[in-house]
Amino acid sequence: MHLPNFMEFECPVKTHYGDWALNHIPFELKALGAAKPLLIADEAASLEKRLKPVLEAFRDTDMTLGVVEDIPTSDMQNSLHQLSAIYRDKDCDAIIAVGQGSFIDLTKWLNLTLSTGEESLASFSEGRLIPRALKPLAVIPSAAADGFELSGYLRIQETTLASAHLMPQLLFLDPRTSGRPDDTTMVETALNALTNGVETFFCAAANPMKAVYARTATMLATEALCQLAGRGARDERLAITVAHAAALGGCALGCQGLSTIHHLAHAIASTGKATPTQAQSVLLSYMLERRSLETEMNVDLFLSLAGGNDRFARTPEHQRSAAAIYFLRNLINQLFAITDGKIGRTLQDIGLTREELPAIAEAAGRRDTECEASSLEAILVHAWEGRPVDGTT
Amino acid sequence: MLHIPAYYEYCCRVNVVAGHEALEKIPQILERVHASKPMIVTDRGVAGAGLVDLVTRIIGDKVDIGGIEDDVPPDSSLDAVRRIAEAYRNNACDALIAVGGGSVLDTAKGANIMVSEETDDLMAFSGAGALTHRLKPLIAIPTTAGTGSETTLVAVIKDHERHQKMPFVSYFLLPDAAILDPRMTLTLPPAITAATAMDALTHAMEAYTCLAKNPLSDASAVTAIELIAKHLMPVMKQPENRDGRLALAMAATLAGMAFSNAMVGMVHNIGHAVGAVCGVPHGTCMAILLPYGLEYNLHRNGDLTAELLLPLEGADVYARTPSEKRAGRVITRVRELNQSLYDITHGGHARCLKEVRNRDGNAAVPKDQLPDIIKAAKCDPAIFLNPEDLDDEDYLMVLEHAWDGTPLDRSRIKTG
Repeated sequence: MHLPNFMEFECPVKTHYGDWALNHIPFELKALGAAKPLLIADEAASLEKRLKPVLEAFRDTDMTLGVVEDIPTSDMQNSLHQLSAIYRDKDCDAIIAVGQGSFIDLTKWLNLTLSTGEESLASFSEGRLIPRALKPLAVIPSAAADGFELSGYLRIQETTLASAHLMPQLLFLDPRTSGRPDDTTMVETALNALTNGVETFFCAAANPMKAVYARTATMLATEALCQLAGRGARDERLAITVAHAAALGGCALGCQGLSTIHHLAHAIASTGKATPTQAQSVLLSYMLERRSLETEMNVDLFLSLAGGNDRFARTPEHQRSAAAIYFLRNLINQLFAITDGKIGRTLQDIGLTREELPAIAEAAGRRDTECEASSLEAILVHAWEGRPVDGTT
Repeated sequence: MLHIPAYYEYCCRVNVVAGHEALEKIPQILERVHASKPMIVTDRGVAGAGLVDLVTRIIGDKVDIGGIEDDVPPDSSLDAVRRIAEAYRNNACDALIAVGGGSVLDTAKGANIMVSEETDDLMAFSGAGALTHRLKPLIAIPTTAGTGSETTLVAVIKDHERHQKMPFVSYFLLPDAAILDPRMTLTLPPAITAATAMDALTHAMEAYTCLAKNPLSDASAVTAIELIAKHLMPVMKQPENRDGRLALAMAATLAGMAFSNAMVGMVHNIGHAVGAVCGVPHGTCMAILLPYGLEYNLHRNGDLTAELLLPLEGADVYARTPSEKRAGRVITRVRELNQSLYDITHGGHARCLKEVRNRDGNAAVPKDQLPDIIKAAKCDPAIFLNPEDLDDEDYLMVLEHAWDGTPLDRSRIKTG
């Protein structure tokens, strides 16, 4: 494992996983000094009736629970104002968020606004420190996640804030609220988790503390993806495994986890031709392959995380990195088949033209600190053609 | 391999700052926790080694130090905790900086309970779950690698009158920040480097093989074991190796994160008792007892112990070792490690209880004290999450072998 000369790591998230996990919410909120939480749910959570077990957890407590359902994210500012007004009016002191993706960004924004009195994100993006103790925020994600829910990133339109203090203090993963998304949605969530786990584990900013979450997210995501791809029997807890992977992948990202693959995916998504998930899923094996050329990155460890210790140990040392890449590519090929091509094997599969690649590389290069635009373009070309990355990249 | 229980919790809210100039971040960290007048808690050994001076020189005029309390005894003490709490109040401090090993860190945690709860009765908060709100800011700067106390929710304070070690367990005991700087362990004597690293190894191995394991504690444990396996002997051979010292510090912190969330088992159970009755340092107890704990539990968790061969010895040894022999190989490797540490410290690192010497050079663990150790072990809660029970006969068997330095006779282990 690569050890940095200096690192700082903080993960304020307390994870509760498993059967009856939700029943611990009142106790944990009380421990954070809360007595009047506001439960907020997105449209999907309301539709899928994921709130009932959360409400039941408060039945025999002396806490006062406010509930607001069906919150849209189409107009984030409006939703922020509505929720702020309700929170203040009811004198609430904590937030419980049931949902995923941009809805969780909304709840992080809400928490920041209520804790600091400052709604505008501009002051924070210009250097104002996000205070340490925001109000308690508990997140109950599902198996339809973008992987950023538990991270320290808050993304509203073109503004991105990053701070460990934005991370929820509480995470609850309960089979009753993981939802039952379709296979394609679970594949996408698991791939988001895999990207976050792998990138955090093998990037230049990796450190042993992040590796705890990254390692676990990678193993969970791979296990889920193998089941979804039809390798082995499907576990009845697949949905919560996917949710688990995505949540821990977010913890691994923290607030210092965006890497080359995220910047490339963001630039690709900006073309409107593909989602970040689709882009990341194609790029993952190519980025890993590129990193395998740098020996201190220990890409061979991916084989241990994904394929198990025995497979790792049995594979000759000089073949492990290649075997790791092969494992990943083979998995992506299978996922291409079961998602009817929604998960692509190449950038061509997901609709990009070769002519678009230089502009994408340039856009990503403006944000990326690890690679220059020319290297990024080379990676993109390989990923477009489906050609392995070699020492010339 | 992933082992996912039906339910688990995992938490480590400590801000870990690690690096070759991590100490320089102290003023910034104090500002973040809204503190400006910390009390430094340490012991005479650490102060005598110049480590407190190093800290005060670095934070210099940026911080108003409220006082330095350096009279923490080995294994901590109720008296020391009370004294420090009083000094904290008298000097109107608003934070604690603990510079030292496990005893110092635990003493600072104990003092933090007293000043935050505004109490003189520390024992009222012993056990689990007695604390209900955030304590005063605490920054932990370990000078060993180590107890992992900088990232644990546990403090163990010795009641010298009753010869008992009292545990305090709460998430509120977690320090706000842990600063890992290799300058803090560069001058650590070889025998202490060895014992504290074995302490960390024990934390990791017990967390992985006992009953409350979870995927995140497992990941913490495996990473810790990898780092110790790779860096301990090189650091023993070259004590000025800063990268190695930093790696061992990270390993100890990770091992602390592991056992803080998955607890421990019989190695700690018996080790606490040996420490309480005979005054043997904790790390020494751990090093000696670790192979016995793994050996005793083999019939219950040998498959888990077997998995540790990969981080401990690497892929080649793992692949070459038949699966049914891997657990045994782990135990052998731990014994080999103890032997190597004994050799390189010229006998300073004890391999068995009869080799442990007290400050006067006498045997620290007379054989006739084994029954007293058993009595103390039966009162220690660390056994709760051990995969197998022990009765008086079992304890005596393990202790006799650990005293002699001979492997257990596994045919005498009662199963179930």
